[in-house]
Amino acid sequence: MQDVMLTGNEINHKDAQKAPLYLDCVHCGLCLSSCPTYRVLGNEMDSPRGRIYLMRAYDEGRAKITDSFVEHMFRCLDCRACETVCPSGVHFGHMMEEMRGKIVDERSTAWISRLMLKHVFPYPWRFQFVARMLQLYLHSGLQEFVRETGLLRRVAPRMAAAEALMPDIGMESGLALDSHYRAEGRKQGTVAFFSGCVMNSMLGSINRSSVRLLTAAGYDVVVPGNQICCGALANHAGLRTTAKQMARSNIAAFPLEQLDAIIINASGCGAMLKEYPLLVDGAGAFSSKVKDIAEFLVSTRIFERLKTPMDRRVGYDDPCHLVHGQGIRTEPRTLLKAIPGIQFVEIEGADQCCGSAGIYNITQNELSMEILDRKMEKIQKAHIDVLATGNPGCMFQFRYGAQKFGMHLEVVHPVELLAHSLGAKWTKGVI
Amino acid sequence: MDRELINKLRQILGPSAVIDDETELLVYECDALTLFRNKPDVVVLPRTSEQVAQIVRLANEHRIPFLPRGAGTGLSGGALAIEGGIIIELQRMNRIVSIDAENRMAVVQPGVVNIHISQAVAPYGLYYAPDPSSQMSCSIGGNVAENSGGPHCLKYGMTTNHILAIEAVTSKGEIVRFGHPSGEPIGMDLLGAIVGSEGTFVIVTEITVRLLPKPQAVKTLLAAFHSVEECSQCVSDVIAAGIVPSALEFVDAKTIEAVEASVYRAGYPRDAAAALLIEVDGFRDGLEETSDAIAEICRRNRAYNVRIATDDEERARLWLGRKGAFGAMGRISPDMITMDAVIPRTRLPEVLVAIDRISQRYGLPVANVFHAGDGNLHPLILFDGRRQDHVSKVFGMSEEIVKLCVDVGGSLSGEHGIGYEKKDFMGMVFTESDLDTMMRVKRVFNPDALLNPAKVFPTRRSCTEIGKHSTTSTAEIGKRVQEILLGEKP
Repeated sequence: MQDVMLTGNEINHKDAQKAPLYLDCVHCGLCLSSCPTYRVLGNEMDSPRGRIYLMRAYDEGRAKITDSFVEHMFRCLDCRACETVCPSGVHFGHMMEEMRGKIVDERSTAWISRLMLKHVFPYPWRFQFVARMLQLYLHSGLQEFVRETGLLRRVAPRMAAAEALMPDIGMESGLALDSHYRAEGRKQGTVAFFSGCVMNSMLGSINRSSVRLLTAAGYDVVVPGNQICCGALANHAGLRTTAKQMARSNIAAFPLEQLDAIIINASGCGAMLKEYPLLVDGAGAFSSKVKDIAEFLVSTRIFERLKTPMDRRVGYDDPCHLVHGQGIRTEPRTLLKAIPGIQFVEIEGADQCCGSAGIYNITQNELSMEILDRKMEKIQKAHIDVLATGNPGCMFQFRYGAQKFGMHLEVVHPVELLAHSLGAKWTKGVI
Repeated sequence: MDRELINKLRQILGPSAVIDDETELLVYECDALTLFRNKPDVVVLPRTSEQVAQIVRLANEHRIPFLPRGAGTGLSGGALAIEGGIIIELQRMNRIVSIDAENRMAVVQPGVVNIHISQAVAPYGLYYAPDPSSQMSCSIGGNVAENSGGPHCLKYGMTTNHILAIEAVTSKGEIVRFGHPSGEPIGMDLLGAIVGSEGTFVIVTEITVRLLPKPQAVKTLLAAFHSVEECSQCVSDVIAAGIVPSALEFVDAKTIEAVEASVYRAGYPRDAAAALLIEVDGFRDGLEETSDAIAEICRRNRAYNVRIATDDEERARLWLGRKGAFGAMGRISPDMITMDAVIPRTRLPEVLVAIDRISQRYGLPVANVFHAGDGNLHPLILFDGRRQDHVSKVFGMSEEIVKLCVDVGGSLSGEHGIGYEKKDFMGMVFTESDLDTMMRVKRVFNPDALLNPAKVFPTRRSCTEIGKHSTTSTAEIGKRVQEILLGEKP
């Protein structure tokens, strides 16, 4: 029977480069209830199936890039929960990034600027946050993003003023670039560390904890000096050219042949680094070495070193780009449960987005807050002291959520708990 | 569309609950059946029954067609706005209103996702039994409209067996109740007429569902066969042995290929011509013997591998594979249409061979994945909707397959509804006077045919279906249905 039968994808698979990705979607709708925006809004345009339908309509010339079209494409959190449940294996994240690229090409980047003017500048805390982010970008190779959008011109004069008003988002530097750390005990190999921009400037202790764990597990750690921002934010915003340049710079910055792995502890960046092959040719060798820190540690001898006990109720929230973007679900849990004395609590809906999504909590604040509220209600029900999650944006979002709900909740990266269990001295807070 | 009407809708619902942007309306031009499309003029997203009633009254005033829509996972075009008008999207009415664990019932709004009911009542050891494959997304309101089934309906019955009462908005915009939480309707069983009326009688706005205690024990078997015929013979033999499985599902090689290539990979045997997924549940005592007896029957039909799930996780994987099967077809084809015919179980072997012949003749592949236990076939025709020649073939094939099933003593639809897709096939199984009687019942509920027009009845009939009568109260509806069924002219 199979001999006679050749339709669509059976042909397309042979010629995968040319087949439009939306053809993978058979419109079954199994993705709907996994989508955070659909769960809140209940309308088809803000569901994965609806967005794919619009992308297809655009490609077939039945829809134009109108304001409402743009709105639905950018209202997507890019959390990729739909990919985890999709029976057809639709590459939704990639399609969304390409579509946003087309929007940016067609509409120029001026609209991003307008978006900022509308949603950011009127609100002091959002403005402060963006100002801080932009400051980081300037040091991390995103100058072009800023130039393209004309944001710097508008932001610069107020940057200094914003600095003074920023109590919640502090700067805590992490690892020096171009540094080298030695393995403890018998050396198992050498890894490179991708330091990230937000992690290394605002949440520095997480990077130091990460290196501490890697050396304790028997690995030499190098921090290459020429690495820059991974480019995920630019890519999610549709700035494909910028993202591609950043990918090329990073690929050139790592001495691949000397490395067993490239370790990253921010899940958003990790997903991006692993998907460089979708952006630039010849990135396969680089991306195949990229490992999330939990993914890597779980197969090392780190377990025998986790000795200092911890008497806390700890919950774990899956960052979208770890669980949906990289398929890493069990590894962080396995590691956390290995800490002596820990009471690990499974949170209902742990793999649903918190609404942070890069700068989504700024550009789509209302929706983000509604998604966060639902999340915090579930966290409250779990009665935990500590919430561990592996992405800086999510950590900020949860800290804000805990404040908003008046909860005593310490929000940490899993590596901070693990490093504490090594007997590390520099972890902070009540733990 | 009339600006005045749009403005009035905005006044009732607020601006963010009324969609009339041309781009946005595109996504509402079809449900999960993509073969037929038509854009509605406006989509509204009410949050209360009162709002639904107001919308309906407004539509009546303006003489504009309207229809309800849930998650849009329907496979017969039930939520297709074929004559335009207003789509009343009920997905914002998605609250579980109350759970009464002691009396084993729950009150839910129509936009609640099927599986969310079972998740919400799991702490009480209860669940909601009907489990359509789309249960992780489909809405309970849609289930009521279509009288949805699912694998476990073999033992537990269809949606209609699990609905105790509903609140609904009539086609004229009044809020009425049908059924009773006790399960015993007072007066005529009009609830039975409404469940499965495919959104053409009333718009359901609240549902009281029956909950069941979770079975004490469950056994799930997967049996692989080298021949489709031996596999289908096995189905008949299991039933003939007097065993009542809670589910008895058939998957063929093409389905296995698609599922095993997907995230719902379940470990189905890739070298099998067909496989059966069989489940038995109930008291722990005796269940082992039943599952052994089934395994024995499978082996007698030359099953070359019979596997019993060892834990809940393995069992869940086997079921996720089955339930993801329709969607997984995207792995091997850009489009597909899911057919829904029913045949007598004993005719399974010959019908499958005949379907294969039809498929060969047209040159479009057909995958088979279905509820074998009750003979509810789901031939999936795989095609490329961008090719007009494929689309014409699909029409020809689906008609031939339905005809084939009817000819062996079967029927048009097991659980997906007639909708728009199969309305012109109704003449294959019903006489003129059958259809007339049904149409007269419909007119009682939906006299002006403004509610979900051009569905279920053949085209010719639909064109002239405008009636003269206008009723609203439950009592009067009951009286008029009685009159019709007794043969008196209303």
